[in-house]
Formats: sequence, structure tokens, C-alpha cells
Amino acid sequence: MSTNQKSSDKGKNTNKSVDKRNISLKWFSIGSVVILIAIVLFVNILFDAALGDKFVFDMSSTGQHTISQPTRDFIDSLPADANIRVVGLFEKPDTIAGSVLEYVIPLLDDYAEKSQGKIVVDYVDPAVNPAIISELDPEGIAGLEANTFAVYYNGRVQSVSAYDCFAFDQYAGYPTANLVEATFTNAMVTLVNGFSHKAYFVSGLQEGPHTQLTKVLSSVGIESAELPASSSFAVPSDCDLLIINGINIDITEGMASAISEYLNNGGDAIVAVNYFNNSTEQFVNLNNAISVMGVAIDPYMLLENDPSMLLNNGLYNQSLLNVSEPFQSLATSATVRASYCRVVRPADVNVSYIKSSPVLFSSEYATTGIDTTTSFTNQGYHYVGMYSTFDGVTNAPHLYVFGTTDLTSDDYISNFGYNDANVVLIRNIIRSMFPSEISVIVPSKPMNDVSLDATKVTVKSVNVMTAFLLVVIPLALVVVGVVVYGKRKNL
Amino acid sequence: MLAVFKREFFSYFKSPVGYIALALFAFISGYMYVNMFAYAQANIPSEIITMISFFVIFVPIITMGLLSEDKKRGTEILFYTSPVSLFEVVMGKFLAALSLFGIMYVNIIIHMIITKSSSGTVGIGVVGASIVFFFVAALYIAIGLFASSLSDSQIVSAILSFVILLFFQMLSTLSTFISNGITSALSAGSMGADKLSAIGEKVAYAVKWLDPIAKTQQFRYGVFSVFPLVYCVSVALVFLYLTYRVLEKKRWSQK
Amino acid sequence: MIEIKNLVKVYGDKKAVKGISFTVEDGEVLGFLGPNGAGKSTTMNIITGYLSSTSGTVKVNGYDILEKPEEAKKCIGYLPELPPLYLDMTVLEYLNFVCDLKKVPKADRKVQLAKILSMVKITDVAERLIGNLSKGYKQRVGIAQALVGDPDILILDEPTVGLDPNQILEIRKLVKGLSKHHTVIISSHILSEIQAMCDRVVIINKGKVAAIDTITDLSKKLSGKSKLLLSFKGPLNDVMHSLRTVPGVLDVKSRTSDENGIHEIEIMTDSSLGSDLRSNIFYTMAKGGWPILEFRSIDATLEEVFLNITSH
Repeated sequence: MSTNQKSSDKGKNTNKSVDKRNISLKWFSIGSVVILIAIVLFVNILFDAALGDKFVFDMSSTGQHTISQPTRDFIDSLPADANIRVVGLFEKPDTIAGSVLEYVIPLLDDYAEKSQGKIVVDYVDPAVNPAIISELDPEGIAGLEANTFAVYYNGRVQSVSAYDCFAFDQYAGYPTANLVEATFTNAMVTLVNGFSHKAYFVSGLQEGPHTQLTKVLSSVGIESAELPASSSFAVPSDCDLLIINGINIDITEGMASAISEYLNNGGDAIVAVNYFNNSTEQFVNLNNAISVMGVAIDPYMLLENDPSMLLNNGLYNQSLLNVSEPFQSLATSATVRASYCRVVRPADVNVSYIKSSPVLFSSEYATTGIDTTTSFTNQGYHYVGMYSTFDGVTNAPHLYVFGTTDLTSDDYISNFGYNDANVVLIRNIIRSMFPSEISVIVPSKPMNDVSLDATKVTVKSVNVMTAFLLVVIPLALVVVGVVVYGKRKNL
Repeated sequence: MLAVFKREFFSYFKSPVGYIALALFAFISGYMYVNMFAYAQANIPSEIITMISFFVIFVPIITMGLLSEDKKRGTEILFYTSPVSLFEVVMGKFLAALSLFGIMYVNIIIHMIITKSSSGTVGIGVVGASIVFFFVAALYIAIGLFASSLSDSQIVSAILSFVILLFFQMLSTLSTFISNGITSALSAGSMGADKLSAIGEKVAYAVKWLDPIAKTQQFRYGVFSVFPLVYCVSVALVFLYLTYRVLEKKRWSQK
Repeated sequence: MIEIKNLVKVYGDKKAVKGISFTVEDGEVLGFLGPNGAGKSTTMNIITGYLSSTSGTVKVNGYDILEKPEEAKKCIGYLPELPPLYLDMTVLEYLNFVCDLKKVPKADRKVQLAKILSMVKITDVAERLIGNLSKGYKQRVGIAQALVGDPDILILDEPTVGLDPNQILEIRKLVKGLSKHHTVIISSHILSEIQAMCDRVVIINKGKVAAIDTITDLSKKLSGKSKLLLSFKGPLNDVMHSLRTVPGVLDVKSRTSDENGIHEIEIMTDSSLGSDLRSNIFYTMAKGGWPILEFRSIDATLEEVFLNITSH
């Protein structure tokens, strides 16, 4: 630039008219670029500031920014003078793009708009107005914090964090499901109606987290609590559903007798264990506990051998399991996914009132064995999930035993979202155990509904796909390129 | 414009460059798709968005020769001395490169067909991600074309566009860095933390504001907004105009 | 018609063209002569609209190249020093592309291309890749490119540079053919080239016009000497010796001889003495009994003209 300037200065000395044209061309060039950039900046800033929000179209199939029918039905069922208050404990931000709030704030606006005053949404920053927290929650039991939401109704309050409103992929961390509406509606439903039932998770046995299953339970009106394993273990009297989910070490003898007593007295329970990181665990006490219901968990792993049932080339032992006939009404798919399954079978007890039936079962080519050996035997149909109850008894217990955690674990639910076939099945099973007229099921909104019909993803189809997409197409292109190039080179 | 478009577009298929770019795209997108497919998933929007992050490699390959080769071989003189505007020439080359991306996109269509036939959903998110695909491609190609006009060496142009595109790609990461800086400043609890955080937030916002990918994030969920598209198109236009000015400069430059 | 007035082009501190003015009339073949670096290519690039001049005007058929570039460019076919060829295209693909570029109507295209191909004799290589053609063919493709769109004016920058003598002759013949229907400007630093092809010559040196004239006038004006060519049968040394004794003869040079004893010699004469010398020479030859086969005067070559002008 500077040299250019210098040279044109020099030219000016020698001949004044000489440089006029170049200088005017140069300034036209620079000027037009500057003006264009200015216009573009102006238009963009104007668009963003004034019209940015108006030109957003929610065309998503489920409407990320629109409340769905179940929520509207719930709102309509509220009395006209009902007053639910949703308070964002922060200053309402000017821009929400790129943060999780962009799925929350517009949706809350939709609640406010469509509820005709039954639901009020406002934003109060506790840093500016510290009284807000004690106003909403005088006893400080809900644990309200800045930068979360409080849902308040009639003296009761629940805290909702925006981050809790999403299911995230466990590995990549991207959101897989939008639960904003489900979370807020559930909070409102439980504030208005209270929880109808209470579930206890047996904890302290090296089990994984159960945040996701807790949300599933909450969505059907069931409150969750922890029940730590201890020497003085007892099932609380308010327990409607006992959940043993993904434990990796066996329960104690004392716990076993407490649990079998609970079951014998008509208690409901869900047991889910798998064959991963716990292959030496025989679950003797657990088996003792559930033997009262005529079910046993084998210390063997299931090996699926039918290629049309294998997923992902059988890697990580992924395969399909069939959902048995009586339970298909609860399922959206004839099969579910599972990996590293334990075999579940009827226990060797001969009690006539026990009525057990398979829920999930393998193909007739499946074998069983111990993971570390290659000798898998006993080919035939095997069960991975069983249901058991007492026949002809009032207040009969209901027990579901799964040899897989792929219906209940955080890993799975986070990964595949709340509309996955496995998750739908477990939710419907729980609903069938606790029919409730007040539960409002708001479907999660898929950030991306990604599941395929699992039955079509067999080893064979994966191989064909690999060959076609990774070998045939690229290779064909390269070959055509080489041929064309070779031909033209010699023209 | 049509003349230049025709020549450049078909020249991709007369030399190995176009086929190699297509094969590479087919392989990478195919690899991603098969990996999802094996887990009985098919997240086409996410696949498309991931492919966009590969643009930083594809675009330089495709655009590096567009103008630099003409300069090197002396064929640019044809455009200067023919009764066409240089802007038409720039647009012709731009559209040729964009059309090649259209051909690449056929891979994604194949994946959609497979998804559909495996009872997966090809929903509105795919439409959103595809819109992002082409608008970001347009923006990046305009940048690559501009880089190509600055040099008569393909390699130099490729490196130049790679660097500029990398900068665009890194914008969101950059804004995170800035935010992190603020957080650490806040946790240090220094006196000026409030002020600093306010300034930092503004800077982070400004940086993010420039990032075409962050702006278009909701598209893959089927939530469309007009502004990010206006942004992509207008910035692309700026780069195309800059390219045009660079070519025009040759006429009057005293260098 | 091309009118060039006070053309100046500055590169950095250097003036490549310092106020060139001349006019090219319709239908003439103008030679543009000058040593390497004289500003020939720069001037041609300005005329064709590739570069803009620092000052001065160029009008092509009345259109100013800066104000109405599209109209002006439509009248010109240009072959730059380095032919603008896409080596990865076949001749036909390339010429079709140029047709597109010059907006030749689709209907005329086939006829026009066939005409051009046969005119520059590249019909047989039409389907071949330009990159695989010889230099002479490439140059012809370059000329074919300039002919696309049937422009009134052809501007050829050093069309024969780097070609072998056979190819040079072919190109010359080609240009001669073209000059029947087009106004042509040819630049060259080789004088015989201009001599063989042009009606008029503009000689430039160091960015300035050194001379503009018809070739014959220019050579006459600049030379007091004239040359005679004599072809005869007889002993070469005796003839040369005898002729040197003729008054007014400055020098005698042998040009060619063949095995039949036919020789060709050049005789430098002092033209101030008029053409009387010719009869004297005839009588000298007759006296010796040496039969004259050819006897005519030849003009001074441009080499001499050029050396004269540029050395001053």
C-alpha cells in the first residue's frame, strides 16, 4: 500500500494528469469495498437486532418452541383461577441464540400465551432482588438457586434447571432429546396433583446413575428416592416400586430377605442387571430374593448367533431381542436393542400360584456361556426379561427381571433419547403397573429422531452397506476419474 | 457467466481433482453413515453438519485452481479481453464450485434413501441441515475463490483459504476461550471482575455472532431463522466482490 | 478503425509507454515493430482492454475502450504473446468455450467454427487435447480463438515467436489470407516478418513512436543507397571483378550459386546517380558474354531501416 502510494506520488510530480485515472480507479475500488462492507454490516446488525427473532420459523415436526397437546389438555383441565408462576431466577437475557435457553424461553412464552393467565412467566434476578427466593420458598426446601427456574403453585415450589431439560449423548455430549416441555409440564402436574406413587432405588452396590430413569418415573407421576444398601436395610412402607438397577455386586443376605418379604407382601419391583464388568458375580442373594417369584438370573452371558439379529457386526455383543406377545401392546417395536445380556429363566420352584412369563427372548440360535471362554453351548431360545406375579391373589406382587440394563440405564436412555423403543417399553411397563389418571405424558421432542428399524440393521445389511458406501461408490468415482484422465491425456 | 460456469464445472470432471474430491466426500460421509447405521441410528442432520466441518479441507481443494491457474497459464487474458464483465467470471467460477458441492450432496441423498427404507426419519431437520450445508458452502467457496485470486500458485491459494476458513471454523471455539477467560477472572474474584465479564461477554458474543456454524445450529432441529442465511449470503457477496476488485485491480495497478 | 491518442502507461516508477499516438485504418495490415521491452505488448494490452492506460485514449470503431469496453472488445480478436489456451481442453471444447465467452449465437456457431478450423488448418486436430499439440498448432489454435466471433480487427502479438521456419511461413501465409477480410495489427521484433506481411509499420522504441510510414516509403526515405539483384550464368569471380569497375557501383556481394553455374549477386549502387547504372551493368555483362537470367532492383530491408532509426 505504502509503496503504491509512493509511486503514485512520484508520478504526480512528473505529470499531473497521468495519475488521475489510476487514483480515481483505486479510490473507487477501495471505496466500493468499504461501502459494501458497511452496508453488509448494517443490514446484518439491523436484521439481527430488529427482525432476528421475528424471522424464526419453527417447522420442527414436534415444535421445539410450541407446547404440545397433552400440555394444552392439562392447562385446560386447570380451574380458571389457577395460578402457576414460573420464575426465571436471572435477568432475562437479550440474546438466547447458542445457549440452552433458546429452547426454554420461547417455549415458556408459549405456555404463558396459551394458558390465558393460568401460567405466568417472569424473570427475577436474585442478585438484584434477593427477597425472591425466600418469597417463593420460605422454608428453603426446594433448593432454589440463581440461574435456574422455579415453578410455584399454591405455596409449593419446584426447582428446574435448564440443563436438566435435555438428554445428552454420553460420549459426544450433544443433546439428543429436548425435554423442556416434559420437564416443566411434569413439574406443574406434580405441583398441582402431587406425586401419586413413590419409587425407591437400591443404591450403594456399584450401580450406575439413574437420573434418566428418575425423569421417566417423574413423567408418569412417580417420585423417586434412594434406598442405600446397609445392614439395617428395610423397604420403607411408602415404597410403591422397588428398583434394583444395574448393580454390579450382589445384595446382602439381610437385604435379600427384606426384599423377598416385600415381594411376598404384594410389593412391586423392577430388577435389571447385565453381564458387563460383573461377569464373576453370581447374584446368589438377589436370586434368593426373587426366587419367591419364581425367577432366576443365570451367571451366563447370552450370545446371539442369528445374523439377522446381530447388530453392529456383533461388536459389544449388540443384538436384538424379541418382545414376547403379551407385552407387544406396550412396545412400539417388535424388538429392542441390548448388549451383554444375562440369561433370565424360571427358578426351580414349584409353586402353583406363581405365574411367570417371558418379556424379552432371543432367537432359537442363541447360545450361553461365560464371556472369557469360547465354548458357548445350549443353543435355543433364551429369556432376557421375565415378568412374574401371583395368580388369584388380591394385592398380588408384580416383578420384572431383566438381564440387561439397556432399558433402564442412564447410558442407554441418554444415548437414544426418550422416544427410543427400549425407553418407550420400560415407561409403558411402569405405567401398566401404576395406572394413573393424573399422569400427563408429554413426549420428549427429538433433537433428532435417529433410530432406525433395528430389525433391518443386521450384520448382513451392515456389511452390504459398508461395501457399497465405503468401497463401491468411492472406488467407482476414482476409477471413472482415472479412466477419464487416462483417455483425455492421450487425445 | 454461463460460459465460465460451463468450462469450470466440466473441467472438474475432465481432471482427477473433481473425482478425488467426490470420492473423498463419499468415503467420509459413507463412513459416518455406516457407523451410525451399525448402531441402528441414522442422524442425517448431524452427518451433514459434520461434513460441513470438513469443508475446511474440501473448499481449498476445489477452489485453489479457479483463478490462480488462469493467472499462471495466462488464460485470464481471455476474460479481460472478452466482452464479459469480470464479475460474471467470478460468479461463473463460484457457481461451478457450488455445483460440485451439489454433486457431493447426492451422497447424502443416497443415505436418506437408505434411512427411509430402514424406517428411519428423514425429517425437517434434514432440510434445515441441508440449507446450512449449501449456505455455508457458498460462504466458504467465496472465501476460497478470494484466496485463489490473490496468488498464481495453487498451493499458496489452498493454504491461504485453509487458514481463513480455519479461522472461521475456530470462531466458536475462540468465543468459548474468551468465556473461559472470564470465568477464571470471576473465580479469581478480582475487583474488576464484573466489568471484565461484561466486556468479555460482549466480545465473546461478537465473535460468536460472526460464526456461521453457531448461528445456524437450530436448523438441524427444523427451526429456521432468516438472519443467519442473510449473514452467509451477504458475507459471501463481500468476498465475491473483493475477488472481483482484485481481478479488476490488475487493469489499473501500477505494480 | 483504431485511434490511439497520447497513450501513457506507468508501472511503478517506470513509464512503459510514453505518449504513443497512431491510427489504424480499416482493412490495412499494420506492423508494430520494436525491440523487446519497447512497449509493444503493453500497448496491445491497452488496445484490447486487458490493461487500462494511465492516460490517453483508445477508440475502437468509435467506442472508447474504457467507457464502452464491451462494444469495443466485440470488434477485436486478440492473440496475446502467450496464447491463452486451456491445455486440459480439446481444440473444439476450447473454441466452443470461447464462442460462449464472446456470445456467438448458437445457430451460427457450427458454421463459423468449421470455417475457422479450415482457415487456420486445424480441422484434423479438432478433437485433440491442446496440451498435446505442437507449438505451431497451439499458435494456430490461438489465432483461431482470436477469429471467434468474426471481429473486424485482429491483434496478433508476436504470432511467430518460437516457431520453426516452416511454421513461420505457414503463419505468414495465414495472416496474409486473413488480411483480406480483417484489419490486422501484428507486433514483432523481427523485421522480415513485418516486411512479409504488412502494408504499414509503426516502429516504437523505449515507449515512443520512432517512425510511422509505409514500408516502401520508409526504406526509400532512410536510405540513399539502392540495391540491384542480378542472376546470371558465368564465372562468379570474373563477373564480380568486372562489375566493381563500373562507376557508381559501391559493392558487389554474392548471394547464391548452384551447380549449373548460375549465380545470384547483390549490387550496391549510389542511387544519387539514378538508374542509368543498369544499362552500364548490362553492357558490361554482354561484353563478357555472360547471359543475364534475372535483373531487378530491391528495396532496403527493414533491418537496415530499423538499425538506422533505433541507433539515432
